[in-house]
Amino acid sequence: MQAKKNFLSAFSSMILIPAVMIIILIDKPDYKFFNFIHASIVPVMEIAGQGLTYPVRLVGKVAESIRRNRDVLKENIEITSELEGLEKIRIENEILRQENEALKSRLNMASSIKYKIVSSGIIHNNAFMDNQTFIIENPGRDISAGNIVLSNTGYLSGVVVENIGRYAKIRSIRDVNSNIPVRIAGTDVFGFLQGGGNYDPELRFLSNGDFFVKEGMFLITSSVNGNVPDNMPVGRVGSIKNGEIRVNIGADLRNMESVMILLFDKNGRYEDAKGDKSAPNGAGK
Amino acid sequence: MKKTLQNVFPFAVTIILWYLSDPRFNPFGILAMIPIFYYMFCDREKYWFGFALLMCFLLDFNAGTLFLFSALFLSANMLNDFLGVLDIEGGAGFHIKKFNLFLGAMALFLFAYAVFAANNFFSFLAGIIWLCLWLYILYFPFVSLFRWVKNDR
Repeated sequence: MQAKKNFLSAFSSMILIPAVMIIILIDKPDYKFFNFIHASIVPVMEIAGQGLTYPVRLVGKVAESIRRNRDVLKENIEITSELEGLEKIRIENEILRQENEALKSRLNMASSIKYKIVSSGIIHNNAFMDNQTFIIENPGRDISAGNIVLSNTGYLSGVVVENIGRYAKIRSIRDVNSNIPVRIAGTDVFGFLQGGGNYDPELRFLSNGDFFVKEGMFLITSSVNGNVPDNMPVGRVGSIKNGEIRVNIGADLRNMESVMILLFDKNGRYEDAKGDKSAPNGAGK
Repeated sequence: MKKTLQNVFPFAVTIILWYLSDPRFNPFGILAMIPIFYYMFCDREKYWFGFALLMCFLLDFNAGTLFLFSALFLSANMLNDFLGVLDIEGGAGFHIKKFNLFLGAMALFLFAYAVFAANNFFSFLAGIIWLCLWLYILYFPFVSLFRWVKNDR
C-alpha cells in the first residue's frame, strides 16, 4: 500500500515538471500566468511573514529608537552650531537661484520636466550572484511596471518590472538582465550600461568608437530608447581594463532600505499634466 | 496548545526564513530549503508537499528563476518516492546523506544555470560554493532545533 502511494506521489512529481515547463513555453514572453500566480500568492505570504516576524521587528524597532534618540541628542548640539553658517549659505544660494531663473527666462529655456515621486521601503533585497532584484512596498498601488527607481541620493537604481498587488518588483541596474541607455555627461557620446551581477556594470556599445573614455567621467541616463527619462545621474566611470569599462554606480544598492519611485513610463503618461487626464496629481511640467 | 504550536512550527519557520532574506546570509530566503527538505524527506509533515512546492515557487520568485528550485524539489521528491518504492532502508545518519545528495543536485542545477544563463561564470561559481557551504553548516543546528521542538532528541 505504502509502495503504491509512493509510486503515485513520484509519478505526480514526474508529470508536474514537464507540465509546468509547457506552461512556461506557452506563457512566454510576458509570463502573464506566472505574474497572476505571483500577484495571488506573494502578498499573502508577505503578510504572513510580517505577522510572524512582528515580535522580532518590534524589539529591533525599540532598540533602533533608543539608539537614534541617543544619537539625536548628540547631533543636536553639533547641528545648532552649524546652523548659523548654513543659513548664510542658504541666503547666497537663494540669490543664485533667483539669478538663474532670471537668466533662464531671458534665454527662453524650457524648464525641466517634473515627475511625481513616491517613496517606498524595500522588503526583500535579492542581491546574489547575477540576480539583483528588490521587492518594495506599493501601498498606494500607484507604482507600475516601467517606473524608474532612484536611490535616496537621487541616483538611478533600477526599473520596476512587476506590479504584485501591495508590492512591486524592481530590477536594479546591477542585474545582468538590465540594459540602460546612458550618455557621458558633457558629450554627445551614448552607450549602454549592462548589469554585471556581483561585478560593477559595464559601459558598452559607445556611439563614438574613437571617443577616449577616462576614469571619473560622469554618466547620466538617455531617453534614446524611450525606457528611461533623460539626465538622471547614474555614476562615474570606475576602471578601464582590456577595453572593459566598469562603472561605479552612485546608488549604494547593497545597503539601501528605501527608494524613490519616479512615476515614468515610455508612453509619457506622467509627463505634461496640462490637459492630460491620465497623469496623476503633481505630475507635469 | 503545545501540540498546535508543534504542528504550526514547521510552516512558520519556513515562512520566516523565506521572509528574512538577506543578500549575504540568506539570499532569496534560501535557508527555507532546510525545513522544506527536512520536513519533506526526513520527518514528513501533513500537507507538506503542497506547502513546500508553494515555498519553492516563492524562492523562484525572489531569485527570478521561474521554476529552478521548484523543479529541484519535484525531482528530489520523485527520486525519494522511487527509493521508497524500492524500499531502501537507511541508518540514523541517512538524512545527512540525503541532504548531501540534495545539495549536490542543487549545485548541479545552479551550475547548469550558470553555464547557460550567467553573465559572470566565476562569480556565479563562487556564489554556488558559498551557498552550499552555508546551507551545509546551518543544516545541523536547524535539525537540532526541529528535533527539540518535537521532543525528538
